[in-house]
Amino acid sequence: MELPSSTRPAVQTIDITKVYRVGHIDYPALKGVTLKIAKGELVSVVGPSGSGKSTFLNLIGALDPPTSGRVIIDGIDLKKLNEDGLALLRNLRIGFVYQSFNLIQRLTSIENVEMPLIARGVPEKVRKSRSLKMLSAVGLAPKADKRPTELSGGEQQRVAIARALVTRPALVLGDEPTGNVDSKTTHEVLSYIVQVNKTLGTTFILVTHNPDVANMTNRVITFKDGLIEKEQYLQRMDSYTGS
Amino acid sequence: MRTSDIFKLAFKALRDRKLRSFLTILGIMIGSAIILALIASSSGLSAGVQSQVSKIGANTLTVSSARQFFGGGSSSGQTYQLSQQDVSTIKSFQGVSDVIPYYSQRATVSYGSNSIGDAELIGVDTSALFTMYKQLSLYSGSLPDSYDASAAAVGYSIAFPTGSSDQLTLNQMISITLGGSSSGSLTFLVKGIFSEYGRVLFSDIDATVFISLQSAQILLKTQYFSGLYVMTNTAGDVTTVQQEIESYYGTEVRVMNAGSMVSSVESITSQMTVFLGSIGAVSLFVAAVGITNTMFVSVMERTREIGILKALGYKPKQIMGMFLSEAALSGVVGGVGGTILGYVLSFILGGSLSMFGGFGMGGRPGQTSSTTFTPVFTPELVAFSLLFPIGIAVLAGLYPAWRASRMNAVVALKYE
Repeated sequence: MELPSSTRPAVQTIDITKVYRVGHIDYPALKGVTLKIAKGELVSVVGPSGSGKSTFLNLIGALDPPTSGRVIIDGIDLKKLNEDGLALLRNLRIGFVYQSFNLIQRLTSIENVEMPLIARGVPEKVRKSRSLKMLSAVGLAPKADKRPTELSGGEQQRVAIARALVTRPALVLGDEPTGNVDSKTTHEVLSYIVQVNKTLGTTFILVTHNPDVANMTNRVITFKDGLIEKEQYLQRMDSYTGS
Repeated sequence: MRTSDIFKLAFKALRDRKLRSFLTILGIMIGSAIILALIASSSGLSAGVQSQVSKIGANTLTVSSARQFFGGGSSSGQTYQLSQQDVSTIKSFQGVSDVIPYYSQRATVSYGSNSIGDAELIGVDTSALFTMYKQLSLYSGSLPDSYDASAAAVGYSIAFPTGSSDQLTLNQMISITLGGSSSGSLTFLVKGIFSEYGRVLFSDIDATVFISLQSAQILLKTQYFSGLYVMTNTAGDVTTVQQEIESYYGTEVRVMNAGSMVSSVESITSQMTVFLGSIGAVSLFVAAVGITNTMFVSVMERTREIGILKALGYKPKQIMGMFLSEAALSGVVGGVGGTILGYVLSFILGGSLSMFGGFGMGGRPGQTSSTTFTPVFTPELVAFSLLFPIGIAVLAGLYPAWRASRMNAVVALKYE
């Protein structure tokens, strides 16, 4: 019955809803989203504030359970996993990149990058060298021992990307990954994402407000009022790196 | 996740908040130090008192003239003085096996280049010495003969004073100046030297010169005794004999019962242990509340960090382990520090407890007969003072750590 790995969708949602209850009032954030994202896709999710994009990202990131419906990541129904199983899935399959970077302030760049490897029990020597390699891939090896407060916004975001990719996840979720960086850094970050997507086949789902970001993805999904308003397939601009 | 990594991260987290960690640990240290010091010094005190009892024997009473306890006010002439008549009287009481009279006076002993000021001269039937002081033995020589007025046997520290190369040999002359007397000095020939013995409740045997009862009577020019040792047939007779003597003499004499003094010292010691021990327990409890509080603040502050850890795939029990090991590490440092501090403290405390223990035991005015003792550290006690704080710390950290592990990742990530 199970589809071969290569043809299983990276992410599949079946009629997912999410209702937040504050006091006695229910706020429906998602009202039934059904979606398939194939492996190796580079998808952007756009829409006005409060349209449910971030909620959607949290649900497919296994951080929050849906109120109803099913989330299936690489053939695994999240409903069937307990807390530990969800944590393991996040650690092994998913990388997160946030607008506010979400680095641990008291740790250095390399220590931040090491964190997901520590959870897996990777020996110190191995994880140090992997983390350093990852940092040099994003051009930050010289700042491995600096703390986030000593880095610029763009540098912090590159550390966060290194942390998300050091585990070689199949799926990377970005919540406004370029929201807090200047346009030059935005270009650098995007071209790096495109490169990883192309060379490693990593699936990216990026929530964004920035049309430039949306325009360089394969597919733009527009959310409105907790529902998918429209989906649009784009011709990827492979020359983006050079622009 | 490797255990070594958990502890490395915990250590880093504690180090990043040096002052707060230090204050938390200080609380644990004080609690564990107080408990260790108290138990060590009170069991040391008990052991010290018990060893003195074993020396003097539980079937011994001391009778002395009441005057001697009130600053030597002999001017009134009203004080009763103990004579040979009293020896016979008390000997006739039911349950008494023997009565040994003695003379005693403060004295300064000199020979060669040594002058020992804090010594005591005791005149007693020397053949009774081994009955009076259990386990007393001669280091060299023999006991002075009863009729040899110039013979003496001396305690170990008179013969071998600390910090002096000049030591006493047998048949050497020593000169003795009596305290409070202007009658010049007396000279004795050393016939025997006792082995090291230590204190009994009233005096330091090692710093005593023993001469025969007869020579003391002649040299001190008095027929009245300083006191009487009363030996009863059994330890059980002690109380009835004490009552008999007291009802016969009224307030004229003072009767002291070694066993009852020991039990009163022990009851004081145990009361102090309970009192100070509860202070220690309370301070450990306060320290535990402190840990819980610090941990809660820490969990609050690091809410976002916890959210990040969850997003990175840390399992709830890993997050709990990380916070618990911070608490445990505080407990380890607090326990080790507290044990060291408690070790030092027990000697300081020992000093003040021994003054306390010596209270009321002075046989003569101006004499401090303090009970010296050393704190007792059993392996169990040391293990307890090392491990108990860790247990307390882990217990105190349990709830905050659990809260951290149960946090909702999405909410935690939004926390500012």
